[in-house]
Amino acid sequence: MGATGLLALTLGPTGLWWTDLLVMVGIYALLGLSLNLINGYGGMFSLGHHGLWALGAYMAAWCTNAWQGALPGPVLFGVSAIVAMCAAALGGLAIGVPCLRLRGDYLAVATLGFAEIVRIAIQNLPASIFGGSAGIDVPRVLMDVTPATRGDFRVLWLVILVVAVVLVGWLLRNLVRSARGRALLAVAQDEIAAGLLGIQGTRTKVMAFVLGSAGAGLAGALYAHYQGKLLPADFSFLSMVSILLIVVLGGLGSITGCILAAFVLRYVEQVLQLQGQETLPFGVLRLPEAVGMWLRDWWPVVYALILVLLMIFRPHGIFGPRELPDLVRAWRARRKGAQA
Amino acid sequence: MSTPLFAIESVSKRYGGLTAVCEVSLELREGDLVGLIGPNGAGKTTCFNLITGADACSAGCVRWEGRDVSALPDWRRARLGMARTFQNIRLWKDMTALDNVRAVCREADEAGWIDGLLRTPRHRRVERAVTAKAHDLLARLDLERYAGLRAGDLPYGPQRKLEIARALALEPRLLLLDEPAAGMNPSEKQELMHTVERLRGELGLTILLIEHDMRFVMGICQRIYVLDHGERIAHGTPEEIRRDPKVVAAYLGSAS
Amino acid sequence: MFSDYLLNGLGLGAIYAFIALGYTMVYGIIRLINFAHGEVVMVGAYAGYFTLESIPWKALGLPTPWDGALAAVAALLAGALAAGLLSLAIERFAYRPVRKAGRIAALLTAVGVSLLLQNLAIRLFGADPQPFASPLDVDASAFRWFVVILLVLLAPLLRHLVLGTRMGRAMRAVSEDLDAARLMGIPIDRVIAATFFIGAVVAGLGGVVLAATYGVVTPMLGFLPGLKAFVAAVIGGIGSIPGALIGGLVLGVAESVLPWALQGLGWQEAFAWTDALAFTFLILVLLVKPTGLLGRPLREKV
Repeated sequence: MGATGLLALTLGPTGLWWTDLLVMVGIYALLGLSLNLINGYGGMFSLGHHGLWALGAYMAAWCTNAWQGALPGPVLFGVSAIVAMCAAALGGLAIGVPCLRLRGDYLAVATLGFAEIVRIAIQNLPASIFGGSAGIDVPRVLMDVTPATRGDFRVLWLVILVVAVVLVGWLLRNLVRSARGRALLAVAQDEIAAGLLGIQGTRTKVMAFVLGSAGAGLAGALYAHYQGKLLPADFSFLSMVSILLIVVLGGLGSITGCILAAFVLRYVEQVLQLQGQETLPFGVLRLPEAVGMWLRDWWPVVYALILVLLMIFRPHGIFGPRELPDLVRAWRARRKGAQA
Repeated sequence: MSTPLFAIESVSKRYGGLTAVCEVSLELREGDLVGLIGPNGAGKTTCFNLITGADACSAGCVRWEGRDVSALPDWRRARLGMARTFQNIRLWKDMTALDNVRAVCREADEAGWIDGLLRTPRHRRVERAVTAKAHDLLARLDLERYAGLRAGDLPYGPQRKLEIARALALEPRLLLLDEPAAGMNPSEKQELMHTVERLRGELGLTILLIEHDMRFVMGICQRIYVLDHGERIAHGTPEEIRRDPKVVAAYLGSAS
Repeated sequence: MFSDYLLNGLGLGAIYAFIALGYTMVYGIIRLINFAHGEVVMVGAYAGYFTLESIPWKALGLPTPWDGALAAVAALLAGALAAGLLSLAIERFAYRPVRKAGRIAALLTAVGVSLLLQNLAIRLFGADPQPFASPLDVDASAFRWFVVILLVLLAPLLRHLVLGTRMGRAMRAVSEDLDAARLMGIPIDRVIAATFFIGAVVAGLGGVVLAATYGVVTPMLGFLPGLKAFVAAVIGGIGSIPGALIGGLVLGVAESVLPWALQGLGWQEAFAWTDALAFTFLILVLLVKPTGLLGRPLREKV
């Protein structure tokens, strides 16, 4: 029953659109979750997450290109993902060790600078390594198909992303409830007090940063293999703002909020792209003509405005540092109280 | 009775042209309960900062069991065995009371990041130990009922006590209390006095205490150091201090 | 020729200095990295552009050198004013409400405003670069000298402003200790607004000059120079006005001379990596001396 449903999901333009949306939501959710570890729980302010994402993606691409044929497809996929995560983790270490003793806003700019350096490096290194400005192709090793039959295997991608997001969410949840997680939260809230009580601030923050970077690397590897082609423009500062918006909208420190925010943002973005088309996939809202077209054109402006207004009126995001189940419980308790 | 547990020798702290602490020496032996008093601005909290490593000494040295630890960073000194509370409460307000205490427990060192991520058996073992210890400490300070509450939501008195519970999680040999009774009403202060003495006995603590409330200080301290304008002006038992003209002058010369 | 690159660098550096000033003043007073500052520069540039385009300067009938000069002055003033007013609006409506919400919220707001302005500009002015024709009939080197001289003239003016006037004293007081200044009766909101305004006015000048230097205006004009100017402010010591000016010149010269030198030493593609230079500098400075060349260390009380 479920299998036919899943299959139906991927057939036709509706299925295609939805699976593509959900896969990208998954990737951005991974980026959001990994950034949440750094900016949310860790209380740091990284603006360079997109650089680590790029690092992971490009390393996965390079790895796949380099060892194509030497390893069976799925194995190569796995290996490239691991390479991507390690590369991103090392990148995080390289930026973290020197810069994490800096204060919040300085760290923001240092990480932004690092991401810019990564972008410039990718564009300027010999094209044979990373493809330069023209981009690099990633051989489809996960499935031996041509772009024409790609749609049949979107279920697989959907499954991969769902598994990845659930896994990373689970790991994050575990971490936050563990000893090291508590140390991180303490450092985030008052590093000086933490230090005076035996918790080494810099080391803790660096570890969190490295783990978050690895998460970005994973998202990069998945992105590279799914898209099949990477362009430096994919990883601009704009993408960083998207990730940031997801984390802020979902609430710094909320896992479910993050995933939900990724979905909402991506959905709205994609829906707006489609406005004005004749037929829309099922589940896509058709807005009144004028509104839809206007929003589609002005979306970047509206989107930035949302970020600004959000910070002014609800700096803790929609969920704040709480999870969806907590909110439901609180709402239920309030209702019960009102009835009593 | 050989080396004192802890001492600072001729310690000074200068901030540009201002000398906050000038050649202050004090020492504590194991089991002592010593007070550090003086008018506002005398340099008491600065001393605490120098002792714990929050600030570096401009001159002089800090000794732990005879060893010079002046070069050690704050977290190393904490792990050696000195823990402190803060004049302005510095709890981790968004964490629960229980987590505030659990975060400091050193048993947690055993479980690494991987253990935490994957919930390994080691992680589970450490969690049990740490949670049990944290509950025990909360109970010792009669804070059990606040365990699951957000530390920032606690009433003022329990917050101050939570700071002490948290410091105790370090299993310190030296406990530095910075105005632990500030803002409490007389009955809370009485209760705190008894608690401090009880904990000292139960846990074998050595305690250095800053306080403004004279009754509190005279009531439990064996010895008292008096600072004024960054210098040590007196040292002795409560009776000696009470009668010392220099001390009286220092306090009359300022609003306290 | 080394002297060419040096002059180039000074001209560029002066522009960075103009922009860096705004960053350093705002950071000095409310500890905020004004991410939207680059976009304020861009708006200044567009204001100058529209001033030049919409008024038929040549047809006014003035003799040849003077009509160009008038146009240039008008463009500079327009740029400065537009930037200043925009900055006031941003401070009032976006930054003031989040002043109490913490540094990260403020920084995110700044990022949001930056993006908002960029995209608004894309929508309103079009994403394509528009040619910016300088009304001054001078060659590139003379123009560089012009920019440097402008900076040299501006510097003592600023110094007087900060050290000699009441507002300047108020600004210094607020940057030392905001709460104490408020208790002393200093009108904090007005002082902060003035700080934003002054920094933006100078940045607006920089924007017009930037557009004239490169001959184009685009909505993305302020992004990279803005970031680099921030680096310059950090190098010079964030919070220090002379630091911003010196940092700007240092970075400009370094960006111009270093790639040339490296290319001379054999590295062919040195110039392609110029942008990376600024950020590498930034990270180095943050590691070695976070307070920069002329900055003051800031302590946190325990």
